[in-house]
Amino acid sequence: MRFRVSGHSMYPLLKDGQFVQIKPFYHLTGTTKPGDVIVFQHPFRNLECVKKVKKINPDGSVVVAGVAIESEDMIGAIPRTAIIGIVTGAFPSLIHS
Amino acid sequence: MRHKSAVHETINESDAPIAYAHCDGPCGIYDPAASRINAEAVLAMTKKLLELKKPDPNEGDAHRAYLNTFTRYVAIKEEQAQKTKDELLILWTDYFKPPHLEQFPDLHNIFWQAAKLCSACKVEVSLEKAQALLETVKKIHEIFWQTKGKDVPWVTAG
Repeated sequence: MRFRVSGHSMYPLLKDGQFVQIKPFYHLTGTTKPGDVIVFQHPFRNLECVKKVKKINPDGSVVVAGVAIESEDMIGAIPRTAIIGIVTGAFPSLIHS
Repeated sequence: MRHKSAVHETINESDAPIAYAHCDGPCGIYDPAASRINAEAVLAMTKKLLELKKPDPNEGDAHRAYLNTFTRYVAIKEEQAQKTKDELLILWTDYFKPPHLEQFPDLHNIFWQAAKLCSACKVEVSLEKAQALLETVKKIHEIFWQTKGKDVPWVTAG
């Protein structure tokens, strides 16, 4: 599955307008680790986000952060059930170069 | 097996859902207008302080009124200068990103100068510094809206 990146918080790893390919994350069996880039459902807004995993909490939820800004996101811990997938690759857009 | 043409690929990409990589703050609403309004208030208070006439200390009521007004003007100038700095720092640290710095290499220096002018406007009653602060906020306004790709005119309330 592909997503189009919107925003600059993941720069220079991901650029605004790039596309990312994800490997679906199954919360019962899936694993993730700090450094992974994940696409997840925002905990209180109806949108999907792409961020880097900063740490894994003891309850399995993850703390995420941008790359351009190293601080932890204010959106709080992301539960495993909200993780949609792990980014496996990024490629320039054919229509948003 | 079907070949994927460039057109087919383009259509697929345009249909891709968005994954937001916006800043760490959840609202995503930024506007240099807030710092402009505060900087205008600093300039207005500075002008009022410079225009304020000191009465004869022997005129009790007039002297008390003068001291009260002077103190209020200074307090508002102090408060508005700090608000200007706060608003500028939000833009600087939360909105602007490395790609913007590549586009505007003087960005850090402009913000640093603006923040220093906020402090100078608190320390002094200086028309020159207050005007310089508003001019620097104007530069930030122009850069900000260029990064948004919008032509937003600089309009002051004062």
